[in-house]
Parts: sequence; structure tokens; C-alpha cells
Amino acid sequence: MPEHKAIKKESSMKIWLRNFVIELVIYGGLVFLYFYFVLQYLERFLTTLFREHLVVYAFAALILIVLQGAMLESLTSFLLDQIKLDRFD
Amino acid sequence: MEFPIAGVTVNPLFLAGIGFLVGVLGGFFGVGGGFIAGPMMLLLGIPANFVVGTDLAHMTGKSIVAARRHRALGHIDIKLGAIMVAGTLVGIELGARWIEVLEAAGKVDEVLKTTYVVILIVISLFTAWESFRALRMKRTEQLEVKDVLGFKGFSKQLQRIRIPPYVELPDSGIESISIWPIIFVGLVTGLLAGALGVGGGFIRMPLLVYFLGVPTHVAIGTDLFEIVISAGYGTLTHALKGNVDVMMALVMHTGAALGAQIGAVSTRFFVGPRIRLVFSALPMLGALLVLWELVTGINLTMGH
Repeated sequence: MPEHKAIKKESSMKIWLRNFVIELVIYGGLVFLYFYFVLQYLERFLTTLFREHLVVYAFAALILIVLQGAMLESLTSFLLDQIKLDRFD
Repeated sequence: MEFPIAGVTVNPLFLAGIGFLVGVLGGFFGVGGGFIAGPMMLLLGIPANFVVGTDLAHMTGKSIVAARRHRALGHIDIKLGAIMVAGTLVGIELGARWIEVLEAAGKVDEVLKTTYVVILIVISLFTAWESFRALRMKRTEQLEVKDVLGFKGFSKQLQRIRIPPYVELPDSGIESISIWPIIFVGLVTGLLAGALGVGGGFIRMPLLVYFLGVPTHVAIGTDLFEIVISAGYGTLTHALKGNVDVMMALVMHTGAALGAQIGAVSTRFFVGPRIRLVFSALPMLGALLVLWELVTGINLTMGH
């Protein structure tokens, strides 16, 4: 590989890594808040549902994971676009 | 943190970390990653009956994230995935019944696991050989395309099979193909998933590439689309049996969502043969895990 291409690739990788760390810190903070303000409160409700209404629990489990999937996809996509992690330069 | 449904106390950071790791693998290779997450969850002390169900639940959420990102990148063939899913669901049910028949005959574990190890080793060696060949072709012929196949005779032959009905798959660059080979791919992977309790992503992805002739990036995205449906179905059936701790799955998924995005975005920076070359290590790793189970008798991949 020519030297200038190798240097360009190395600097792109550094930028990508820096952006990745920024994304990780912001995302980690937001997930921490979500964990303490949403998931903690769901625990008791879901445990009761699991013990007393297993069929309702099964559907609730699927709906919850799909909703969280859609929500976190939007959040991570937003962060990726803002931080330009997918641009690589 | 205590997870009362599964009845264990696990550090949520470990769970999110496992999710992140399998998320990156899933986003990059289009696999569910159950063969890695399962053993790790067992090592954390999670009861075996909760490992498969909870892993499937987190896999559903993770695959939604990765599939949506791949869709944005134009890497999903929805029509192909929808046809294949019919075969997959039938295959899962057939696989579960096959187990019952084999169990009645005895020695089910040894027979299934040995077959699985052989399949995985063949896939791994073949994918590695083909990707080396494709990379060499790309270099010597100075091809500037994103994907090159070092072995495409079989998919070309298959596309010539004239058994109606036919479909056109423009997103995969296939002008016309009979739907039966597509259903067959779904059926085979579903059968293995149902029989061995694995997602089947690391069998489906190479089958899509070599058997149907789908470009690597589209195979990864379409595989993830398929995993969303099959893992979602698996989550529901396992949850109905009381084998899913959804709190645990939600925590794992917080790590997996980020990992899946990173993995999916990273595919843009690699050509098809290079992705397949790195991918070839995964089936070998899966084979070694199952081989280890056969030798030691300790169940790590949670077949059934």
C-alpha cells in the first residue's frame, strides 16, 4: 500500500476510534438513566406477571423486547448520525 | 443485581458486555451469536433453562437494531427473507419432532452433535478456501467491485432450475429463481435450529451466498431480518414455557443494541470476501465448542 494511503487510513481509524469512545460515553450515560428510571420499576410488575399470568407475560416479554429494540435503534442511529461514526473521515 | 424471575444475582454490566460482544458479531456477520452468549451466560451462573430463552429474547431485540441499520444501508432483500421464513418455521417444527424420534431411538445427543460438528467444519473450511480464492482473484484481476465469489458455479446452476413458481430478486441481483431452493435454505437452517437449539445464522449466511448466489452484504442483512422473525417466534414459545427472564434480556440488549449498530456500520468498510474470510472462524469456533461438549459431557451450547 502506498505510504500516503497508509497514513490516511491510520488517521481515519483514529478519528473512528475517538468518535466511537464519544458515542460509548453518551450512550452509556443514557442507558444508565434508562436502567434506573425505567427498568428498575418494571422488575416487580414483570415478576408478578411471570408468576401469575404466564401467557400475558410471554406476550409482554416479546412486545417489550421489540419496543426496546426499536427505541434503542433510533437512539443509536441518532447518535451515529450526530457523531458521524459511520462516515470514517 | 437480582433477577427474581431466573432466581439469580448477576452484575448487569457483565450482561450488557456479553450483549455488546454478540451484538458486534451479529451486526457484522449476520449471526445471532447464541453459541457464544450461551456458554458465557452459563458461566455467570444463569440456570440452563433460562439461557436459551433469554438469549433468544435479547437476540430478537438486537437483530431488530442490526436489521434496521442494514436496511438503511440497502442490505436487506425483504422478498427473499419473507419466502425463506416460511421454510424456517416449518423446519423449526420438523427439527423439534425429529428430536423426539431420535430420542426414542436413543443416542440422540451423539448423533446430532457429531453431524453438527461435521457440517460446521465443512462450512468453515469451504468459506475460508473460497474467500482466499476470491481475494486472490480480486487482486490478480484487479477487480474494483465490492463482492467477488471464488465459487459461483453451484448458484448459477441452481438459478437455472425451472420449477415454478419463480421470483425476481432485484435487491440480490437475481433476475429469476424458483422459490423452492429459497424455501429449502430456510427449511435446512430451521431444521438445525429446531433440532440443536441454535439460531442457524452461521449456516444460513454461507448458504445464501454459495447456494442462492446472494451478495455477502445482502446475505448478512437478510439473515438478520430472518433472525428477527425466528428468534421472536422462539422467544414466545420459550416464554410460554417459563424459560425467559425478560429483565435480563432487556439489560443484555442495552449492550447489544450499540454493538449491533457498530457491527452493521463496519460492514461498509470491508469487501465481501474479507467478511467471509473472517466469518469462516465462527463455524469453527462453534464446532470446537460442541466437540468439547462431546468429549467432556458438559452442555454449553444448550442444544436441547
